[in-house]
Amino acid sequence: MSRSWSASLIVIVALIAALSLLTPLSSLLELRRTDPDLALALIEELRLPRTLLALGYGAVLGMTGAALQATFANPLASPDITGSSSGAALGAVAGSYWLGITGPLALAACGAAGAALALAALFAIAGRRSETATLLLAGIAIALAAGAGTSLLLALAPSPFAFYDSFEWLMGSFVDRSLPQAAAALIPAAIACGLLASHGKALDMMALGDDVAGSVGYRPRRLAVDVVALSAIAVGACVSVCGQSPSSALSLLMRHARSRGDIRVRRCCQPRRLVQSSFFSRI
Amino acid sequence: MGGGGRATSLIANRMGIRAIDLRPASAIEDVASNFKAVASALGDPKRATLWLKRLARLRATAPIKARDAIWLGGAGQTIGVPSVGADWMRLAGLAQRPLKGDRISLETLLVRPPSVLVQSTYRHGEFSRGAQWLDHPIVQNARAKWLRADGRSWTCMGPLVIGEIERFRSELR
Repeated sequence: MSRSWSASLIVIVALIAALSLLTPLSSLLELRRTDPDLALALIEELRLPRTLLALGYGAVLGMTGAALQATFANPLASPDITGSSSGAALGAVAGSYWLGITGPLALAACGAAGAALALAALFAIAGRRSETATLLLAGIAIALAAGAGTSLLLALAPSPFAFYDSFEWLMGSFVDRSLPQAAAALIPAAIACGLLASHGKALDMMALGDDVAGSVGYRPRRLAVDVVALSAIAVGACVSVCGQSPSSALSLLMRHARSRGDIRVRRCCQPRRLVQSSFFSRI
Repeated sequence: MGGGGRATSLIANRMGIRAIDLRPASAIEDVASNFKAVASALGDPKRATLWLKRLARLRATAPIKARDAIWLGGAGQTIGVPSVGADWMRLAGLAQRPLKGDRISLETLLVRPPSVLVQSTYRHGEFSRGAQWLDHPIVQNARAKWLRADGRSWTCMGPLVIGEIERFRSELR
């Protein structure tokens, strides 16, 4: 992908973010004229969290997807294909509707636990370095089972309003989120992604094979556990606030644009790659 | 009546129990008719009198001026206009604002808050996305007079709303 194309994409994402913050412009201008404080509150409390979550969630999908691709040595691995986002939704739903957990950080922890369980199940069923078809089938099976579990828990939840929330959990939404919610999702996710990025060189080596990684002093198994834990934290935190990630079809398109089969993590963690992920997330 | 309601009637008839259908109220007149129908079915039409008197008193003393108000449920769900809910609110001196899709957006609440917000406390302690919406800073800091409503009464919009309206009036005084 050429630099000019990447620069264009960054400009487009910035433009979309600005549009998300400022439109509809007429009401904002009218408000600014009559009550500037209210206009600022409109941006800060309503439009900013939505924009930050959309951009941040997209970047998290891109980052964790790249790390999981290196871990599973498979360019198709991603939070949705591996079932981790479905597992995160299941964990958050179980924690909130059944255990009465309502704090944003505690909910994020429930989501992370669900995502970690889904990834552990994928390791147990498909194993690392499995055939693409095996990984896909195992991941889809886990995602479907977790999705069915989420629907069941919502249908049987004590709250009569729970089932109305199914769409938000299964399809995701950035609407009407607050800044504290955005912070609860994006701060843990940013820390986890930062730690993932610090493993970039090691993951690049692991993508070439465990033997290669081992020969230069890395411990692939330990690294895989770290990636699963950090990806689970990042995805779990975002899912607990916004619901599951976009559809697999969009995710596959995003991955194709991002890596074109190249699973070298440091390339995928470059700002322009993360911007691409955010771009698709905004769409 | 279909579904579970029809099954209830069939079972009651088979057991020799008389079943009457009470139509959901679409106006306060329907609530009054239902008082009479239930009292007659119980064989004592006078039992409706007390309820009818309370209702008549409410209607006779309804405030002439009404304050702009929005009934607020989870996720911003509200009641339609015209509706029996809006009629009940009018008896408390509240004019339910007509809203697109019977839902208020956070943006509207921030920019054009009503004078009075009537919030349902139904299942308030339980988690749901709708309940979470009510915790949004824009909702929490809305510049309006807050009234708490028992959402159970407002689900049926029947006789128990009379007590709610009496309480609203005393709180708005």
